[in-house]
Amino acid sequence: MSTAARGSWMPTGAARPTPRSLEIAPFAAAEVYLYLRYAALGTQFHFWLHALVGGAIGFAVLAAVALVRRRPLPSRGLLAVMGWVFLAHLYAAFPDILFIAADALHVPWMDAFALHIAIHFVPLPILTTAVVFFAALGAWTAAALGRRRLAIGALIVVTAVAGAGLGLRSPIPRSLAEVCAADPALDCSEVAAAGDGPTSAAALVSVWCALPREASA
Amino acid sequence: MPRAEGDAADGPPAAARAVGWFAAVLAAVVAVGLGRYALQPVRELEDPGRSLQQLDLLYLDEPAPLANRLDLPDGRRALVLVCERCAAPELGGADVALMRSDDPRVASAYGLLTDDGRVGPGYVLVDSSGRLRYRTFDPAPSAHGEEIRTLLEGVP
Repeated sequence: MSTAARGSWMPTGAARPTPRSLEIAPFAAAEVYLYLRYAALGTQFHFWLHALVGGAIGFAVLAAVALVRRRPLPSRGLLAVMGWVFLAHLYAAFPDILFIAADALHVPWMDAFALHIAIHFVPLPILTTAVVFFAALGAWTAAALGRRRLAIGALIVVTAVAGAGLGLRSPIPRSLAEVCAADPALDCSEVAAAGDGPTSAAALVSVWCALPREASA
Repeated sequence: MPRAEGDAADGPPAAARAVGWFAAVLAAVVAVGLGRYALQPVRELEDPGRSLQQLDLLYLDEPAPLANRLDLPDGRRALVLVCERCAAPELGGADVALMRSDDPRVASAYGLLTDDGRVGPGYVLVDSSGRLRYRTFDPAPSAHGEEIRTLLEGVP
């Protein structure tokens, strides 16, 4: 029985699993180029956010595929892993690439690209997506090392944290009142004075709670 | 029969080492990058909540507050810089009124005043009918003329 048949290391007829440095260079250079383009706009926050999301998707999918197919590495080894993860990053960052390359503004339907807009509104976005990314990387590593239970456990963490983050995310604000209601670190006394009225859920709750006091006054 | 290059080193133990090294190096690069990002001084000038920091989505559509106080022009788009000290971006001849305010009242009205009294830095975009379409913190608007020009193309 071959090692591939047991779900262990090398798939039958596999290429070398360890890429040469020259093969890695294009991916590293492309990531550095992307980072510099974001940095030129002062938007490193966006680079990290979408890189972490794309990387998490890439590794989680590769881990799931490895578990299902019982083939730890794709047939072209780590080079293919890097390629798939890089493509996942491009997918998650595609609206930003459109903005930079084609002057296309962001619009809500761009959530089709790995929730490109909505992901900004999960609680503690960089921390949350970093946890998901490292869990997905751990899942893939465990799957590639043949540690199936560990890989499945890490994928459960990925799903749970991503699900909780998305479940708790705020909606995109549609007014200054909602912007202010969502961010307690802003001094929005003039927004309240402008009389736009409460439109956020939090503001509606505060009004609802105040009603009995006003009625009894 | 001679072995192809890499065969000897690429047996199961070598492949396991390669996967381990790859994951460890990638995790280290990402962790160091995130650490550097977290310690960047410029972050102190960004949106405290981050979510709306240079979102590049025209997510607002309401009458611009304090329009009279800002003396916003009728029938013309306006870019209002809200900051104490910031240079104007290069707008490439775009037909837009460029204004500036360091008034905390204006900053507060546009959600660009932090609870510790920081005015911006940031900017707002008002369309030609006087409606507010976008507001963001931006540590260096003058360096982001390309981004602002792209946003202005979507503001009637």
